[in-house]
Amino acid sequence: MTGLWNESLSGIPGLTPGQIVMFAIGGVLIYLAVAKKYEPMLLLPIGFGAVLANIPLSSAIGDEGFLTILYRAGIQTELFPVLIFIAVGAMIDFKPLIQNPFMLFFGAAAQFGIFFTMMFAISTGQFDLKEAAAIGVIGAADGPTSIYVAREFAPNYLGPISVAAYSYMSLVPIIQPPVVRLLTTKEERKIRMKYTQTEIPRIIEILFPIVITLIAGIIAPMSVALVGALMFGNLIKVCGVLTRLSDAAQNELANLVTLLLGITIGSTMTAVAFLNLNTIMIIGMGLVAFVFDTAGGVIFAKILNLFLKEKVNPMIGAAGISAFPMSGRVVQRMAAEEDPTNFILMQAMSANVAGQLASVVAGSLILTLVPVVLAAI
Amino acid sequence: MNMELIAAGLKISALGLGGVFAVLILFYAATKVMLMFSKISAAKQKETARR
Repeated sequence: MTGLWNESLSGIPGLTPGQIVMFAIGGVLIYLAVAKKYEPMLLLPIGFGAVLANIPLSSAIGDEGFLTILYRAGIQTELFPVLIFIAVGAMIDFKPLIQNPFMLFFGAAAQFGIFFTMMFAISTGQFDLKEAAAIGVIGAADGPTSIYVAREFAPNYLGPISVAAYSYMSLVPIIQPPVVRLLTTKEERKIRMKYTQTEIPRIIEILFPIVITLIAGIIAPMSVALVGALMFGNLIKVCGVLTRLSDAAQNELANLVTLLLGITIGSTMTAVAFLNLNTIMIIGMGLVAFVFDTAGGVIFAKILNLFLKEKVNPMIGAAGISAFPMSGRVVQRMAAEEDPTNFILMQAMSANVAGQLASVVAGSLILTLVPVVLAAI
Repeated sequence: MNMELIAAGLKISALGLGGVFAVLILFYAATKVMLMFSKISAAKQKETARR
């Protein structure tokens, strides 16, 4: 009888204050997901995964734990982020961007936060170059890319980087408006932009993902997995003959991988790995990344306006971050606040989709450049 | 502060941000070329239909 009690309650003596704190953190993530609806599809599984991983002697982790098996199969192999990209590609509509390819440049400018944050992380002296680069990629505002790069460069910080990336993506409606207001005048926010709807032939919709994959792949072969998966998802959507596969990618695949991805990431958040000063710094630097992404996009748009005859609304620059579609909606809402008849949603969405492409390219370039530069030191 | 690391970071930032712009300029050019060919092809089809 005593043996049975000892066996049943074996977790109690093993419980540490750190694990109790991690239960609280898991609880906060679940609360934010349920009560505040902040990225619930990810924050809830991450929160619960953190709880499972911190129960003393948990059978969910360890050599035979199902979460460790999922981690090895889906994260270590980089399979989950790539599968998510197929689903994301099947959900994206590139037509507004093809109609207005100029918006691509706002996507590029809004990646500024990645590099600023990387420099910030290096300057703290707490992180090496690879870790700093992985932290910077939180600024890609793109969960799968952040996970992909973190797995490669900073697997020990995968938990905090993923939590920061997804948390701040859900906080875009709170983070971006003050930054945009600080950098623009009321008059600038009222600028109207002409939008002419043109018919995009189906052949171009089909060629677009193929051509983009070829260009990105030839220039940065590291990007083939991410860009290729994204564009494969898009191709099955636009080709018109794979409706069932496209539906499966948008629904079953997206749901299943998201479910497993979240709980697996949560399982990396053990008290020993998560509760340290570096985690707090990473969470803080995630905010820096989003603020400077927004600032980079807006300032780029303002610089362009010095040369353009037809001015762009500089808020469009803020939509160049990858957080789709929140960022585009935030910009439209701010434009409508200044002038209820101003409608810049289509341009904002084009910039937002451009941000998705640019973030994948930025992540891939970082994966390519960091080892090359490190080898030269 | 490790100046060597800072210099490496600056190099990656310059090449990285420059690289993102360069790749997206190529995306822009490719999209414009595709749109141009589609316009030419549509105009030809219209011309043939009119004849």
